[in-house]
Amino acid sequence: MSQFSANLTLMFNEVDFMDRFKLASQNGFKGVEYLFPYDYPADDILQELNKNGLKQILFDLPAGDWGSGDRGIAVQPDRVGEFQDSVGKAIDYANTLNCKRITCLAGIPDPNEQADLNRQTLVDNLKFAAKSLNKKGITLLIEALNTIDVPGFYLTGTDQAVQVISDVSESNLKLQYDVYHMQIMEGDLIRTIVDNFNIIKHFQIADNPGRHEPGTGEINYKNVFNKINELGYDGWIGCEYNPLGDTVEGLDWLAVAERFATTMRTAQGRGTNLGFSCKSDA
Amino acid sequence: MPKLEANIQFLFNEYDILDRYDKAAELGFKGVELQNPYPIPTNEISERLNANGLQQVIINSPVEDPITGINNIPLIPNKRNLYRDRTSLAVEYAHELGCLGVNIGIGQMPDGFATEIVKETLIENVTYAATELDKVGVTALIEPINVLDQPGFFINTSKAALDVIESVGHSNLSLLYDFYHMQIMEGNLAATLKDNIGSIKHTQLADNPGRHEPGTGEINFTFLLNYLDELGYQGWVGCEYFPSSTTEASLDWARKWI
Repeated sequence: MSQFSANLTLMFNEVDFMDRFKLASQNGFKGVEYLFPYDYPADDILQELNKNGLKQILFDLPAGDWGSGDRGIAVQPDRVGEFQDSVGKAIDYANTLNCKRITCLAGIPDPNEQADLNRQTLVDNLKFAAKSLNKKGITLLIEALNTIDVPGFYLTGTDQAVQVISDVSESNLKLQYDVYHMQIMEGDLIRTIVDNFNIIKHFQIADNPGRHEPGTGEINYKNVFNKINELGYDGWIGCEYNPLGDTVEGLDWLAVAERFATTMRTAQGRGTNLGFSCKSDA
Repeated sequence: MPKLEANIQFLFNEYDILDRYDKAAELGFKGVELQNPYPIPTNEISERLNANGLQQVIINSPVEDPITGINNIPLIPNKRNLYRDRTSLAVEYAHELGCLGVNIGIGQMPDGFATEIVKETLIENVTYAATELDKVGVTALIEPINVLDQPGFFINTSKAALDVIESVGHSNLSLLYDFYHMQIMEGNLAATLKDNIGSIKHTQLADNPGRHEPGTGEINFTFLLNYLDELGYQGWVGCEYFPSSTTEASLDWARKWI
C-alpha cells in the first residue's frame, strides 16, 4: 500500500524549515521529502527525523544556483564537474538520513547550445549518478516538469523521460511521476500511469489549476489513488502542493484518502466509494 | 448553473431513436444533441421536440465519404462539391429543428494528399459551412478529437482547432470543446477553458479513461462545471458518454445540473 509523504518545501510553511518535521509527524505523516537538505547539517535533520519518528523519503540533487534561475545542471555540458561533485554531496546526506531515493532535476538548457549535446550530457550525467547511487542502494529518479511554471525546462513529458531512462539503461534509474506537472503538459493521467507503472518509483501530487490540495481542481484524485493502489504500488506519494490556506486545515482530503486506502487493503476495494469534498462546493 | 443536455446517440441506447427524446425529457433534460438525425424526417423529430419541450442543441454535418465509409469529406480536396451538398442538408435539418449549432466535421487525414492541400481544403469548407449556417442563425462548430480513438484525426488539439478558427476568421465559427478528447490529448482543462472561453460555444463531457459518466475516471467534473459558471459560460454541456451500466443509473451524478 502506498503512503503519503509531506513535502516540507511547500507544506507547513507557517513555521521554519526545521520545525516542519514535528508538524508533519503530529499530523499523521510517516515520511517527509523536500527539495534540498543542503542548507542544514545532516545531523540536525537526522535528529528531527528520529525525534519525530519520520522516514526521509526523498530529496533532490543540488540543482545549481536556484536563486539565479538554475533548475538542475544535468543538461549543461560545461558543468559536468559540478554535477559530479553534487552527486557526492547528495550521497553524504542520503547516508546520514538513510534516504533511498534521490531526484535529479534535468535543468534549463542554454537555447544557444546544441540539443544533441544537452541530451548526451544528461544521459552521461545520469549514468554517472545512477552508478554512484547504486553502490549505496539508492534509486535515482528523473521528473518531467511543466513549462508554464518552469519555462525552458528540458524534461517536459512522460515519453521523453521514459526514453532518457531507456537510453541511460541503469537498473536504479526510475521515473518520478508528478501528477500536477503532467496534467498541465499532457493529461491522460491514469493511462500513462498504467502504461509506465513498472518504472514509476515515486509520485507527487497537487491539483490543477493552482497547485493546491487534491479536491481543489480538475483532477479526480480519488480515482487516481484508487488506480495506483489497484496496481499494487507500495511506494510513497509526495504531497507537493501549496496549501490553499493553513496547511493543517487543508489536510481533510488526506484523512479521506488514507481511510479509503485502508478500506481497499482490508476489503480489496469492494463496495467502497469515497469522494473528496470539492472546495468550490463549499 | 451550466445546462446539461443529453447526447441521445450515446445515451438512452436502450430505446429507439425517437423514443430517446421522450426518455431524455422524462429524466429532466431540457436539451438534446444527436450526431446523425438524417435517417429520420425533420417533422417527426420536431414533433418529439415540441411534445417534450426540448431544445435540439446540436447535430453534426453528414460527412461520411460514400466510397471509403470514413467521416472525412471536409478534408478531401476533390470532394468540395459533395461537402457543399452535405452542408445544405445539415443547414436544412438545423434550421427546421431549431438547432443552436452544427458540428461541421473534420475527420481523419485522407490518403494521397499533401497536408497543406488538406488544410486549405478544410479552411475553404469550414468557411463555406460557417457562412451558410450564418444565414439561418445557427453556429458552426469544429471539434478536435483524440487520436487514440480516431487515429489520424486531422485536428486533435485545442490549439490546432483555434488556429483553423483564426485562419477562417468568420464570426459564426466557434470551438466545440470536448473534455474527454482534450484530457486524452493535452490535459490542463480549466486553464484552456479560461484562455479560450470567448471562442467556446459548446462543450461535451465524458470521463477518462473509458468515456463513461463523470465520477468514473480522472476528471473532477464538479469542479469544472462550477468553473464554467465562474467564467460566465452560457452554452450547453452535452453528455456524450457510454453509460457504465444503464443510462438512468449513469445519471446520478447529473441530478443537480439537469
